[in-house]
Amino acid sequence: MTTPTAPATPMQNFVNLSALLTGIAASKLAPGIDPKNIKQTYFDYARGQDAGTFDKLLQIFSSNASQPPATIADIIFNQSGAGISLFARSIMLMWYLGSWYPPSELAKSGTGKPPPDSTVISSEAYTQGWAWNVAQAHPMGYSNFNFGYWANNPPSLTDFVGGANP
Amino acid sequence: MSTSAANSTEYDVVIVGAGVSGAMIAKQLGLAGKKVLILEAGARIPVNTNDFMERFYKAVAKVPEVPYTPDVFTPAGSLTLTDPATLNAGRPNTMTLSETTWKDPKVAYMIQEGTLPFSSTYERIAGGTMRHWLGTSLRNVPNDFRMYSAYKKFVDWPLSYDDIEPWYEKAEWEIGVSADKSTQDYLGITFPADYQYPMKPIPPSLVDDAVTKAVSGKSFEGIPLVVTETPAGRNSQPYQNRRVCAGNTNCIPICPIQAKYDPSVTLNMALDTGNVTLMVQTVASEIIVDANDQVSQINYIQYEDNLGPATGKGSVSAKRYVLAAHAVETPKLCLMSKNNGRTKKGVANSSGMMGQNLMDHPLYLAWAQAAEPVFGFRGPLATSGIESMRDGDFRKDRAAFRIEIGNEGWNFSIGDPWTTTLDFINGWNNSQLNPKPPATSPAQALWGPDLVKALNDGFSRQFRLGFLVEQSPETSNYVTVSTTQFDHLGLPRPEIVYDLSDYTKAGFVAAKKTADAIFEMMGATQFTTEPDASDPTAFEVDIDGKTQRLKFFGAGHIVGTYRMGDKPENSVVDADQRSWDHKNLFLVGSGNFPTVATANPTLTIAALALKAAQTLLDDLG
Amino acid sequence: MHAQFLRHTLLASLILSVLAGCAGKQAGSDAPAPKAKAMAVTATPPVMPVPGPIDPTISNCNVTPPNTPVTTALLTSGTPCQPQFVAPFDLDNLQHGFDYYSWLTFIALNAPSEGAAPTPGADADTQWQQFREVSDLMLPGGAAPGPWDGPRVVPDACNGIPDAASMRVVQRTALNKGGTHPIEVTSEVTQPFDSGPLIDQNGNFVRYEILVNRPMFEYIVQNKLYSKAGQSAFAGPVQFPEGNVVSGSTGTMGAIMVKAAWKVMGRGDDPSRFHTTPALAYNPPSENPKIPESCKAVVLGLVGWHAAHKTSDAPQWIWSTYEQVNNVPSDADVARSNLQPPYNFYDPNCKPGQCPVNETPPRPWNPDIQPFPNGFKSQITRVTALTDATVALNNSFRAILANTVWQNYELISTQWPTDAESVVDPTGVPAPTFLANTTLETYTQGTVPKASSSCMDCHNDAADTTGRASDFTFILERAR
Repeated sequence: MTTPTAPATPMQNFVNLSALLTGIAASKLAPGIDPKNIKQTYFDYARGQDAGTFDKLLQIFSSNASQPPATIADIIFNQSGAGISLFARSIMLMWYLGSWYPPSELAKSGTGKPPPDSTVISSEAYTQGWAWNVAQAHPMGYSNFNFGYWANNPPSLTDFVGGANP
Repeated sequence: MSTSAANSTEYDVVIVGAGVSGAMIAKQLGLAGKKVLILEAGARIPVNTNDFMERFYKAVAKVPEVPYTPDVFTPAGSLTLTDPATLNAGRPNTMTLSETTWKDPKVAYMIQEGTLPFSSTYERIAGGTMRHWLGTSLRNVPNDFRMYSAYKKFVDWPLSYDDIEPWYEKAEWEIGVSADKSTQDYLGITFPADYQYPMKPIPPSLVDDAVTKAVSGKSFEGIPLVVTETPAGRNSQPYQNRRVCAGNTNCIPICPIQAKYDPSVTLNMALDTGNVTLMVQTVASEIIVDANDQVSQINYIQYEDNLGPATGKGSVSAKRYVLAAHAVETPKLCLMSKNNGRTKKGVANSSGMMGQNLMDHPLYLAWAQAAEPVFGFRGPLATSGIESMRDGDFRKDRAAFRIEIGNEGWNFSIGDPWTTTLDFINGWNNSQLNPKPPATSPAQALWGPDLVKALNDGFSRQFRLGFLVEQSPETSNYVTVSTTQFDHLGLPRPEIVYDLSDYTKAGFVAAKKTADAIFEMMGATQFTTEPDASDPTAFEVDIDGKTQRLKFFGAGHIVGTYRMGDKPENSVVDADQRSWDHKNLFLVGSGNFPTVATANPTLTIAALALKAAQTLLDDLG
Repeated sequence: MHAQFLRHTLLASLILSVLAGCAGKQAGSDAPAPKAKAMAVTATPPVMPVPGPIDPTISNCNVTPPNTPVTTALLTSGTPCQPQFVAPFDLDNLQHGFDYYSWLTFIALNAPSEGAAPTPGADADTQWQQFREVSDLMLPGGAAPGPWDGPRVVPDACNGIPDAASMRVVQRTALNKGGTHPIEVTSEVTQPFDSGPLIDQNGNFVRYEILVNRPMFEYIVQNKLYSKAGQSAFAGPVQFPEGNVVSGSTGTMGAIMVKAAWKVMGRGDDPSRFHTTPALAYNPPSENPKIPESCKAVVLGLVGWHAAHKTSDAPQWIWSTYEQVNNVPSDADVARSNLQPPYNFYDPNCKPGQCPVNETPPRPWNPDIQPFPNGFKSQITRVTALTDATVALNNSFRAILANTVWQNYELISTQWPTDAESVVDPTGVPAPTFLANTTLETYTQGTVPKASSSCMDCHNDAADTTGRASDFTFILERAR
C-alpha cells in the first residue's frame, strides 16, 4: 500500500502489519471503500490500551517493512521482548474475534488454564470477526447468506480471506 | 408503594406467565371474546430487538440467557454474575454450573442441594423460555405416552397419542413448523391423510449429509440408524409476516431476524384481540383459596426496575386461573401459597407431589472431525437428527434418546472458534488441534498464511452429536421453596434436589457407545474429552468393566413437577390439566408431563396449552 | 489505488458495451421482439397479446454527472438509468454521486411525465403515482393483473363514494421490519408483528402504498410471478431487470420500486406544505383484530418516500429515501432544544413520561378506530441525524425546487453496495451501514447489526411464497 513518494501513515502500517500477522489480505481487512471502517476502531482501541507499545510495534514493523514476512515475524515474536510479542497477539485476536485480550491475560493463560479475560470491542467488531470467515462461514448471529445456503459448499477460502499477503 | 387491584375489569381468566402456554391460551380465549389478564414477572415485549441483539453481540459468554433481561452480567459485557438476591425476578443461567458456582447463592439463583446440578435454565420475560429455544418441533412417539403399558416403566400419560394428535396439528400451525409428514411417520407416529405441515422442510446441512451417507442402512445394537429432517419452528417460506431462515446459526440464544418463532408472536396476536391485558414486571406472590377450595384471587407485587424496590402490590380475581410459569416457578408459587396455614402443603398439593419428578433431557455431547470438510458454523444450529433410537424394547432396561446433529462446529463442545483461535495464535492446545493426538510435539504459535490454513483445517471439519436422554421420573428429584434464600422482593427462591438414576445413566452409556460407533462409520476422528475431576455436571459409570466419567448438559427441558394423571392420589392435575384440588385452577406447561418422553418438549407444551384453552372455553360457556 | 466499486463499474460498462444489443443478462431477454401493440380482445377465442420487451432500450437516460452544478436545468433532465460518478472514487464522493442520483430520481419521478419538471401545486400529478400498486398486482386467487395502464381495482366498500374511480386507493396501515407486509391479509396466521403503525398528531394512522415501475411489472407478469402457482412453476432465480447506460443516454431503466407513506391532512396540518392526493382510505376486513371492511374519502399528504432501483452496478438495488421536512426532530435537536415545531410526529410540549419516544402504540391496532384510543399519538425522533454533506446537497436541490411543494422534502440518505460483486457478502457491504426513514422504519432505527434498519440487509432476506430468494423485494411473498 505504501508508495515510493510518501512514507506510510500509521494506519497503513497498522493494516499492513495486521495483514502480515493474521494472514488475511490487507484489501480484506481494510477495503478501499470501507463504510464499516473497523480498522479505525481497532487502531484507536489498541492504541488506547497502550500507546507506547502500540507505537513501538508499528515502528518495528515500518523500519523492517522491506524484510521478508518471516523475518519481520521473527523480529516481532522472538527478538523484541514479551511486551511486543504479546501485544502483537492481542492485535491478531482482535481481528479474528472482535475482542480485546489484554497482553497480561495472554501471559497468564495457556494450555489447561482458564481462558483469558476479554472484552468484545463493539457489536460491529464481533460481526466482523475473521475466525468465522476463515472457517468459510459467518459470525454466529450475523449471516448475510440466503435461505438454504447451508446445503451447498461455501465460497472458497480465498474468496473470504483474499489473495497473497502484501 | 401503591396498592392496585386489576379488578376494574371483570376477567374471565387470569394467567400467570406470558410464555408459550400463557400466550397460546390467551390468544384462543381472546379470539373467543373472553377477557384475560396475564401477569408476567419479567419485562415487556420490546419495541424492537436492538437491545437483545446488542447484549448478545457484546457478551463475552454468549450463553442462552444473555440477550434477555435481567442482565446475566453486571455490568453488561463483563463476566461478573448478577447477585440473584438483588433481582426482583431472577432466573438461573448456564454460567453457574461450575464447581465453585453451582452451590453459591450469591451467583446461582436456584439453591441446589442435590447430588448433581440441575443444569437447565429458564427465562422470566414476556415470551418466556422459548425466546431462546432451538426451534425443534418434534412430536412424541405413541409409546412415549404409555411407558408403563408398553415396558412396565414409569407411568402412562392419561392421554394417548391419538388424543393429542389434533392438538399437535394446531400447534404446528400456530408455531409455523417446517417439515414434511412423509419423513415424520416413524415409530408409530401417524398423520391424517389430509394433513400437511404449514411449510416445506428446512434443507439438511452438509454435516447432515455426511452423517446420512455414513449411517444409511446401518444399525447399532440392532437398532437402525436413520437420519431424519427435524421439524423446525423456523420459516422455510414467509409465514406470520416473518422472514425465511437465513441460517444465522444462532437459534439459541436468539434468531437475529425472527425467522424462528417465539411466543411474542402469539402474545402480540393475543393483545390484538383487544380482550387480553398484559401486566409486566408483576410477580405473582400468593394464590388465595376460599373455603370451597376454589381459587379466589392471586396476589402480586410490582416493580419498575428489576434491581429496584417494589413499587406496588395488588390482587386480581377471575372465573378461572391458569398457572403458566414453567416447571420451577409454578410449583414454587403453589408451595409458597399457604393461605395462613389452610393450605399447609401449598396450593394444589393434596397429593404431596407438587414439585416432584423434576426431569430434563440430560444431554451427552460427542464431537469429532470429519474426514472431509463438512463446513459447520453454517445454517440453523441443527437441521436433522436420528430419531430411530427413540423407542424399542430396550426401554425396559435403559433410557431412550434421540440424536441431534449439530451445525455449529465445536461451538457448544469447546467454545469454538474462540478456543482454537486462541490456541493457534498463542501456541496453546486446549482444543487438542495444536497438535492433534497422538502427536506430542509442542503447540505452535502461528501467524500469516500458516495460521489461516491451520484454522481453516481445524474448523471446517468440526461437528458434534448431541444425545438427548430420556430421564426417568423420580420423586426424589424435586423443586421446593428455599427457607433461607430470597429474591429482592422477599420471595423465596427455588430449591432443587437432583440426581440421575441408574436407568438414565444406562441410557448415557448407550449414547456414548452409539456416538463412538457413528464416528467410526464416518471415518471421523473423535475429540470428546472426559470432564475434569472438578466438574460437578458429570458422573462415574461402569462401561464394559471400566469406570468412566461422563459429562451431561442440561437440554433446557424442565419437565414433570406437577404431574398429570388419572387419580388425585398419584398426580397434581387431571387429563384436562385441571388441579384435582381446585376446580377453577389449571396448571399448564411441561410441568404436567408425567414423563419427559423422547421429543423436545415444546410442541407438546403448545399442543397441551391449546387443548387447555378449549377446556377453559367449554368451562366458561 | 482504485476502489473496488470503480473496478466493477468500469468492468460492467466495458462488458455491456461489448454486448450492446444483446440486452445484457436480464431474464426475459429471449422474448420475441415486439410485433404489435397489444390489441383489444375482440375475437373468440381470445388471442393472447404478444408481450413487449420487459425492459426496452430507451434513449433518454439521464446521465448528468454529479459534479454538475445544481441549477433549474436539472428539473427537466429525466430519470437516471443508473448513477454516474466522477473522481475521486472514495467513499464520500461515491456517496455524493449516489445522493445526487437520488435527487435526480426524486425530481424525475415526482414530475408528471418523463422529462417534465415537477409542477408546483400540492396535488400535482407524479410519474410514480402512475406505477402499479402492489394490491393491484397480487390479486385474490392469483388472478392475472390487467394491462399496465388498466384501471385500479376499487374495493366494493369504496364504491358508494362519489368519484371513487378517480381516487387513489391507499390501504396499508401497518409496516413491519421488512416494511412491506400488508395488514389486509385476513388469515390470522399472517398478522403483522413486532412493529407497529405510526400515529400522527391527530391520532390518525399513517398509510402506505408500494408501487412498481413498468419493467418490474412486466417482469412479474410475463414470468407469472403474481400467483403462488406461477411462482411454483417458475424455474429460474428471480432476477429483475437492471438499469443500465449502454452509451450516451441510451440504456434500460430497470426495475424501480417506490414506497410511499401518507398522512391524513387534518387539524393543524398545512396541506400546502405536502404533496397531497385525494384518496380512499380503505381498511380491508381483518379477523384479528376483528375489523370489518371500511372505506373513507380523505386527503393524504406525502410524508415519506422510498425509491429502490436495480442497476447493473447495484444488484442489491440503490435505496433512496426521502421525508417531508416537518416529520420529526433528531435526537440531537431534542437534546439541544433545537426544535422547530410543528412536527408531524412529535409534540414538543409532551413530556417523556407522557409520550415515550419511538414507542409503538398499545395493541390492538385497529385502523377503524381513529383517532387512536386514549389520545395516543406517536412521539418520534430521528436517531441518526443526516450527514452535513447530505444537508448541503439537500439545500442546493431544495433551492431549485423553490416555489414548488417539493422544496419541503429532504433526502435522508442513499444506501448502495460498496462491494456489489462480493461472493462472501450478498448484501454487497452497504453504505451507509444503517438507514431508516422515520415514517417507514420508525421503530427499528439504530446501529445494531441485523436488528436495526438497513434496507439491503433486510431485503436480502426477501423470498417469494416458495421460499426462493426474490431479489430484494418482499412483493412476491404477497402472491395468492
